[in-house]
Amino acid sequence: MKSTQFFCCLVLALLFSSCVDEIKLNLSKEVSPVLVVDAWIGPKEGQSYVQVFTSGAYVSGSADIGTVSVELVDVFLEREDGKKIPFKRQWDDKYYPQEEINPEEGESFRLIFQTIEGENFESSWEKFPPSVQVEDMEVNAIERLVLIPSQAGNLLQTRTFAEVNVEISDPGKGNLGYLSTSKGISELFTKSNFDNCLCTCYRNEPNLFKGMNFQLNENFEGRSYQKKIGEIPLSSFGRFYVETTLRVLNVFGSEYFEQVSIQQRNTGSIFDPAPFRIKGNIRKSNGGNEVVLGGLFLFQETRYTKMFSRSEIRRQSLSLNHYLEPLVSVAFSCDEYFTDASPFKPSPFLP
Amino acid sequence: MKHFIYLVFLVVYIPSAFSQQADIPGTFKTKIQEYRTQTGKQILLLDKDVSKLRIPSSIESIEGLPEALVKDTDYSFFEFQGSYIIIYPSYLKTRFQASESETSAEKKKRLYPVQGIIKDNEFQSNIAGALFSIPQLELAASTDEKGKFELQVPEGTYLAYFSSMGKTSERRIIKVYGELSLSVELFESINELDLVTVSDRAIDANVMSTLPGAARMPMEDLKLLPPLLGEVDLVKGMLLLPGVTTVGEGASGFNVRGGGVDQNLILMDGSPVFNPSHMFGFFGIFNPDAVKDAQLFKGDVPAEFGGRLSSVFTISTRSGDKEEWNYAGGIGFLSSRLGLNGPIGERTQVFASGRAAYPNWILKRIPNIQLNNSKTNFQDANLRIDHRINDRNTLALSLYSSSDYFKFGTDTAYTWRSNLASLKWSNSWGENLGNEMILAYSGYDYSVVGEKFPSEFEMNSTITYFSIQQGLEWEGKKWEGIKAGYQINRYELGLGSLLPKNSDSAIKPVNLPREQGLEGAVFVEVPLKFSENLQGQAGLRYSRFVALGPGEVLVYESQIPQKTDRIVEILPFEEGEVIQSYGGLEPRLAMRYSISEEFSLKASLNRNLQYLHLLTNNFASAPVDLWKLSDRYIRPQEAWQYAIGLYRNFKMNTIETSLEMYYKDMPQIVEYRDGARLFLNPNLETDLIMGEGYAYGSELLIRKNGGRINGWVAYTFSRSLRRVNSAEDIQINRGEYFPANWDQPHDLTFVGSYKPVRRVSFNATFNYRTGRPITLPSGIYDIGGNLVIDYQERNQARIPDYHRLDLAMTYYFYQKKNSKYKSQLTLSVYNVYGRRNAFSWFFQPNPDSGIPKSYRLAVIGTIIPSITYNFSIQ
Repeated sequence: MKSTQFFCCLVLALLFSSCVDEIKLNLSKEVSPVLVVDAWIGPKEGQSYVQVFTSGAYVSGSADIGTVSVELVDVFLEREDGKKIPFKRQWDDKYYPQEEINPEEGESFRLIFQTIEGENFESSWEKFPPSVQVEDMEVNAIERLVLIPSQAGNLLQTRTFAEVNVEISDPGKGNLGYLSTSKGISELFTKSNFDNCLCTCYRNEPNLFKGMNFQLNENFEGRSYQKKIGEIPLSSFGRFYVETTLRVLNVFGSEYFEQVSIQQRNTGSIFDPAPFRIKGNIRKSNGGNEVVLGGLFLFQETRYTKMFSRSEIRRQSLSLNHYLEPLVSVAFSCDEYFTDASPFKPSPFLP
Repeated sequence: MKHFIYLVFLVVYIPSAFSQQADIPGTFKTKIQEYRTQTGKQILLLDKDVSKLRIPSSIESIEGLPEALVKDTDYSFFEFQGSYIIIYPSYLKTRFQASESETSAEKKKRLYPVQGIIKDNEFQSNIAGALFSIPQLELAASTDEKGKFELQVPEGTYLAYFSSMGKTSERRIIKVYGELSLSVELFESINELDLVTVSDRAIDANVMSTLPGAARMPMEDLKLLPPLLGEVDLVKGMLLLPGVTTVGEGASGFNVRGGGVDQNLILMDGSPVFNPSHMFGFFGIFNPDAVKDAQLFKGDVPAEFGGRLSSVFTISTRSGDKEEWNYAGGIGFLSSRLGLNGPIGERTQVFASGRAAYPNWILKRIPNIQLNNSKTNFQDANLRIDHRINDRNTLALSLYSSSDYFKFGTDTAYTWRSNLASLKWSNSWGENLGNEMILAYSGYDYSVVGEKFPSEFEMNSTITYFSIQQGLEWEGKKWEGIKAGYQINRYELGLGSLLPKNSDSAIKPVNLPREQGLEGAVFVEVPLKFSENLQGQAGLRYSRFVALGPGEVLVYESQIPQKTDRIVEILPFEEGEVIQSYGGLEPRLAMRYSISEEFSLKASLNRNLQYLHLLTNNFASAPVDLWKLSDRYIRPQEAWQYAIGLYRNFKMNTIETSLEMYYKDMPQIVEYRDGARLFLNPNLETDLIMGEGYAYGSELLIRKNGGRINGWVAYTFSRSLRRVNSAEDIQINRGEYFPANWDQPHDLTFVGSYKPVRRVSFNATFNYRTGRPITLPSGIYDIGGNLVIDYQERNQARIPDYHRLDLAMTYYFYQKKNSKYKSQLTLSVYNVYGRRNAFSWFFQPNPDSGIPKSYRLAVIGTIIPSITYNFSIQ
């Protein structure tokens, strides 16, 4: 019977395994660059900028996307009452507003600019979205199978994690999108026989959510919603500091990033849409047919932070099969083992 | 591997060794073949009699072979219909004549009708073209398409012969002293006997039928194909025919002559099937045990069918046996099936079968996180009840139900269900008018269940279909074959609902209104016979569709395209109120001119309208895609197809060849806009757009029937192109033609079957086709710290070509003649050289590093062996 089972497993393993593999694709010679507008307008100082460049060539596996900045001779944001806010180029090739915009919810704006070649472009009129506050940040402990590398090959093991969710109350004012980024600092312990050991390290976790984190409000419009922003592994001691930034986008921004999200989640299966060009809201002023990518994005932004104790999370979820990694012995400092961490306490961990 | 080779050696060598004694001498075989080739007549005799004949070493004229064979022997022969020479022991006739002379003086013998049916022992299918003969009387009759024969025989006791190609001829003593009804089952022949028996099919159907582009797939042929995961599949069998393709493994449905998967009308006993696949096409929904016959009309579609642009695929299920109960089934590692059929009383037969797949126990044992958390299964069941009310009236009730469950990983589960029912009443009105009425129901629903906190949800969509259709066929001598009838279909489509899965879910319920529509059609079809050489059929169908309320129609600003911010009015419609109406004539014409008995030319034209559309913007059609009726904005799809074909048979019809060419003009098709959102979209018209298209191609088929080695080679060249140029900002590919997702210009198929000995067969299929179109990246850029890939125009590139070889070997276990148990073991290897045929390429920034990467998805990227044990008790 065992041999039968082995045969069946072999057949199924063959059937379902290794269906996806990476291919090398260099399309740099086949395509021509397209104009891209990356314009963000927020309510606070320093949040707004306009950047115009040409798209880079798609080269699989290359970190250098090779976009080329496009110089503009005239850039301004026009409010619906006709007021024009000029933008000026800075050292980073981005254009920043020369005066405060002070946008208010529901106000309409459009972007107008001219390239150095004399071509004029403008965006559609876009409404400024409402602001949304993060009500709370909560964790939810879960078990998950993970692959643990070993000398005998990868082993499937159950580990526990804390899903981090922020609670937001959607204002119920039409279609909105929530684009969030989350980062954290992990407190890591080691042990030593040396009395003055710097045995506690702090490691920056720049992205708690793998990939882009975007959510349309279509299913919870006007209601409270818990949006996942990342995961904290619970297999070690120490606290974990989480900081999230939430951007609220208007209808155009929501539709645009929903399409980007679909594109990034694509796995090539029958459940995924075939790839397509994502169109923005910028057109030539004279109505030409030239493709312009990107767009003008109006947003509200809110930030929320919270410190979590992993021990406390484990204590509240004793029914789960928690596993704790043993403390590692070091000589003098934790960064002998955690080479990507620092023994110096960052501000959130200061008393 | 060593054991496998040993097993192969055993099953090939041992039966061969035992079977050599039955071999027919080579010179005899050669002469029989030569005689058949030269005269077109086939010599029929019993296997045991071969050694007693005089096999001439040389002969003056091959036409004298029958005389030479029986010269100076105890055998005689007679000729039947100029096609068959039946050789039999002379004593049968002399004894009969002696007894005849004794009794003739006393009284004249009465004639009684002897009728019967000749069946295949294994498949329980009726054999057309089989021969029933009584050598004593030098009488014979061949069976009709239903395997039935009838002959007036004088009273007496006779030795009757029953013969068919590839079957062991049967002898049976029959006593004719009244009306006699016979049912004979023929066993598979050993070795060479097919050389000396008659054909079991309309051997010149390829040339002489009037319909171009019609293909029949008997289950007997299908069971010879290498199975995937132990089961042969009707749809996969159809994919081996020229002009039928798929975009890849795992895709639901199939594409015919440049049409989409929704452009095929699939009918199981008259009920439409909306998704013909289990487990994403790895299994078909048609249980092979329950299928009697299947036919695909891809060229000229008879006027009785309509509602789809590209093809009609009809599947007839099997009736229960009229005389005794039979049981059949198959056991595999992933799926098993069981069926039974037989009589209930004299007038009623039942056929029931069920099937289930259970791969979860294996998925749990695979060390892969995704697969460990995955589940999949399906079940289906067929039930058919045939009842003969009287000689003129019969009823057939056919029921089918299936359900699928698929969950990959932990978050999302897909389920879909099909329920079909049809009740067919066949009767005769008077002597010459046949009537057939079908009440049909088809229900299809699916749901997607999300279990991810805090957005647990369930999405649903449903299709409910009812129809009544009636057809009359005139069977009188004058105007024989005229058909007329009507059909009324009612559709009710749930366009989607979204419900929270539990009270804690943050999901807001969404429920889109249902769509309703009525489709009616009347048709007439007339056979045309200008001469023996020039024949055909002409048909006319008129169809009309009405979209019915309740519902709301959004009215947009007069300019196009429609956008949600351009709504100017909402028009309400009450229950049953007509929202929109479409209709049109659908002429059908097919002609055949036979240049000779083995060579003909056929041509056809037909127009089809389609009011029901499958909406998908995915890589391929999925079981959870949305169906939608035509409405105020989505007009019917329309196609004209023109086809011409040359058909030539060789070597007394044992080799068939055909070359068909077609051009399909599609002035109206439904396309989607870039970035379309099709599910739970209350304003679908803003994401759909009417386009146009055309397809053309040529299909070459060379097929060998009969013999130890048979099979076919099919090559298709085809193109399918589409265009959307409605308004400036909803152009696709800048308003120029672009290839359809299923545009695969070159498609080569080889199907071969080799049966060296009675109990072993080897089968192989090979398929090569051009890679399907995809949309490639054209660039990459960063928006607010997020990488975005820019894509070229739609379908301007192709993934690598597809090719695959499958092999199978079937061993038929020895069955004694009187034994009721029959079994076979099939070893098959799918994708023998383990090619990773790409289903798609996809592109995304790596979630960890943000580096853009390209990936290939191969649904079946490796070699797949399987073993299945099939059995039947009959």
